[in-house]
Amino acid sequence: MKDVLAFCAYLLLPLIGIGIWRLPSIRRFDLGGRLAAAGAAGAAIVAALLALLSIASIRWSRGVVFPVVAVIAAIGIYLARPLKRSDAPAERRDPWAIAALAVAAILVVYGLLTARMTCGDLHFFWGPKAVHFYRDGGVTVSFLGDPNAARMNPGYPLLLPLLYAWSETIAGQFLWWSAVLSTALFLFGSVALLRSTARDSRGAVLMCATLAYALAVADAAGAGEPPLIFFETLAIVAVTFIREPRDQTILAGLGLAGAVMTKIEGATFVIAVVIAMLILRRSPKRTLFIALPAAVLLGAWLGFVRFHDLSEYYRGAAMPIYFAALPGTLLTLAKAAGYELYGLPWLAPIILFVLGPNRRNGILPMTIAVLTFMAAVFFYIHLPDPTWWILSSAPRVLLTPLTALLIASAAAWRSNGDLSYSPGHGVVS
Amino acid sequence: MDVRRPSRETLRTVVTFVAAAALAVALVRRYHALGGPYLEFPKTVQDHVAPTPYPSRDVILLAGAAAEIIPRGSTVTAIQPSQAPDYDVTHYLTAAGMMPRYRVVPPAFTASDPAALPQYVLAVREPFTNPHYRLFRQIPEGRIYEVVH
Repeated sequence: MKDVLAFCAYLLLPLIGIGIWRLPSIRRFDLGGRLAAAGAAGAAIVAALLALLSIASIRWSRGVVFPVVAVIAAIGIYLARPLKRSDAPAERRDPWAIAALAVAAILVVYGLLTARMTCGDLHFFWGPKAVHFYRDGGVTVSFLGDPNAARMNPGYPLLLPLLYAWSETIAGQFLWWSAVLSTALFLFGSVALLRSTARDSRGAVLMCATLAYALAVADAAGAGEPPLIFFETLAIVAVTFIREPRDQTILAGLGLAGAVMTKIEGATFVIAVVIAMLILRRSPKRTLFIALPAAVLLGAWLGFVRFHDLSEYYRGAAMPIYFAALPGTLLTLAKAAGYELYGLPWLAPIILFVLGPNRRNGILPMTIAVLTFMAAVFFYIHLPDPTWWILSSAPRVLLTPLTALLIASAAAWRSNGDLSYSPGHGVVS
Repeated sequence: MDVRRPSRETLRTVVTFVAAAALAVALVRRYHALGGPYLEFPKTVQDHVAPTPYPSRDVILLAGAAAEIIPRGSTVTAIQPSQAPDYDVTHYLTAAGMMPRYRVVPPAFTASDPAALPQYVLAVREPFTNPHYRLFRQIPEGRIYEVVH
């Protein structure tokens, strides 16, 4: 029963973030995309609430958290009215795509429930941090600064442990299986966001199949990568497919803020998005607004970490670079990037991108893919021999450029960039 | 002879579904390679991440069992003696997540004063030999030792 409650905590996130349905672009999403976008907003709201309670030294408890969350959800429902079906024109059903998505979903859930995809990091630090936060009734400096917890990466951003703590608050204890299963929600949410914004079931099929496989090979379930990919997908599809300025800014800003507060790599991702937008969109003001929430949150977090002298790895970029390690790094990275399948996860979207009739639409996500891939190489050559580091982490680290590539391949098949607003669009058949 | 070139959309459909099918087959093969049982709910979330379960999987069970029998608030650590100090971090952090009511500390056994040593040691899979400790309990996944004062 507690497992069900703990998992339901994640299912409640869209209700908490439902206010985001007020955005006109989201009204044009299909139901899956609307739920995913609201889930992203809900996750951000819950994490922010728990963090604020900790800052205010108010102990987490159901009596405190539930009423606040209920009020936020009620306001959200009010803002989102009328809660009618999507404004988008009815789509032609694509039974083959639906069948393929169902197969991928079944395989993912099977892999999760039989413990074939779990990341060790869940048990090494993501889970233990959440367990201790919940037990302490909040995020405490005494725990983060405890030398015995120094190997739990106390300087890592907090969004995922806070989401796990939210689940604990609902269930009354930390349930490891619910944390593992949340990976499925983050994956399906990513796929739904692409399908909704690109109006493209075929692109969604490739994304679901590819990420399902890559997450399994990377053993990423329960770790930071699934929510990271989810927020990164939100940011990329927003800047790629949504043209309405306000909506694009809000959704991309939410995606970047979520990414930067999920993992250290989220900061690299934000930089990649900013560079890509400055080069390709040449809109510094819009780019600034999109990146601002992430920059503020990251700055506040780094200030907290430094003020309390917590161990962190953000300064890794300032370490010496070993250019002699570059050839070996590239070779090892190529091996890891093969995902034990001759690189098929990369080849299929690259082929589709090249074949795509409108490659220009995919240039922005493709640039993000290239930049984040280069960032991975840049960080790996900070060790004279990063072989072990690459082999143990690259399948997870490369999920970010892989996701951006998948989105690029879908964008290359759209007839224009503003798919949320193009009249008469339908599923590609 | 009417030979039509496949349209781009047809090509896309073929590439997408062939790739998706190949990825699904590869995923099934991976699941199979990780070993059975295939239709049984595992004991821990780490049971099948490798063909041979990692010691940290046994730490999950060992720490869970220890949390039922040793006094709350005790200092505890976890190791695999033959591998120490490698994987020490893996083991004691895993125990830390399973034992929130205890003070789980890194393994350090050099102190001459027993009062400075962890009160309990979870030794996964193998016996732990240290004159300051004696066997407290044994379960299939390992042994629990307590410090001797």
